Amino acid sequence: MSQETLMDFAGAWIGKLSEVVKTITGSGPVRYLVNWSRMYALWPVHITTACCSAEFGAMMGPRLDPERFGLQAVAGGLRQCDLLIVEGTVTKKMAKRLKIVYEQMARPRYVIAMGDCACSGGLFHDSYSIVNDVHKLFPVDVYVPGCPPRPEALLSAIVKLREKIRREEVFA
Amino acid sequence: MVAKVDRPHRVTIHFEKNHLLEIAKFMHDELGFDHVKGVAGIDHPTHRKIEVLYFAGSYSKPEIQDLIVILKAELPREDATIASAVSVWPSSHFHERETFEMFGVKFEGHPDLRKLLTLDNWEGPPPMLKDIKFPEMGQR
Repeated sequence: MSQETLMDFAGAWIGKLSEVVKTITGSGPVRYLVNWSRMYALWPVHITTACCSAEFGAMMGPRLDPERFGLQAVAGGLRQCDLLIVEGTVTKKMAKRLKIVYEQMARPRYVIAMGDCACSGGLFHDSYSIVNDVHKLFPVDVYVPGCPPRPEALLSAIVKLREKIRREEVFA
Repeated sequence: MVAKVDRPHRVTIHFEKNHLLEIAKFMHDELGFDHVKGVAGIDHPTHRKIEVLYFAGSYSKPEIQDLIVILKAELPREDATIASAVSVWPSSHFHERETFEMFGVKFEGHPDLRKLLTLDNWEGPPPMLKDIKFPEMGQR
């Protein structure tokens, strides 16, 4: 058997196998199970771009207790995290680092843009050193307006994100 | 040279720009103001001038620790040049670099006058001047 036919053979089988996997994961119970496990284990990255991180800290505390909704404590390992909360103003210098952090995170990864500045520039809109639109760096799932948003608003964004995860396909 | 007390513990001294080093040496050696808390710039585009402010304070003399003396000089906007105070007050090093970068004020005699905070490939005009616009950011 020559190498090309072997490759064709393997490719065909891998294609069939992935079809089977997609059919299984697309079915109701498996999809429910996978999404359920994903939405109850959100590991946030703690990267402080600006002052909204104070509200993030207030949200992570025992008063609101986001672990009820599956948001785990900030662990520190980027490669195990899957939720990026952009905490405030993104300067052009910080945007590079934020992009690096986003690319290191494990898939599937979700992004919450927190605060007016991260949503659209906010107070510093059209300033020379600011990235106005974070969604040009990476796709954003939930926007939380406010300057800064209350901890309750951020918590409701977590709940919204869970709704989104619950409905999504396993292999999007 | 005009000095006035704005409020308790705040003194402002307006001076001619070529007297900076003499005033700085006198304040450092005789009065005990041993450091600069900050160097700032203010742009006045309608009056065609830039103000440079030195905020001097003291750690070594307990009786003047609460006092902040503001040295204020007016420079013409077209030729904003002033002597550097780094030789007297080394703590003004980075502050003068920032003022140079943000307002385009040239500090003569500064040991290392490079840009400090903006992007590495920044080639635009001094961004804090009020008549500078950045159309690519949506400014009008």
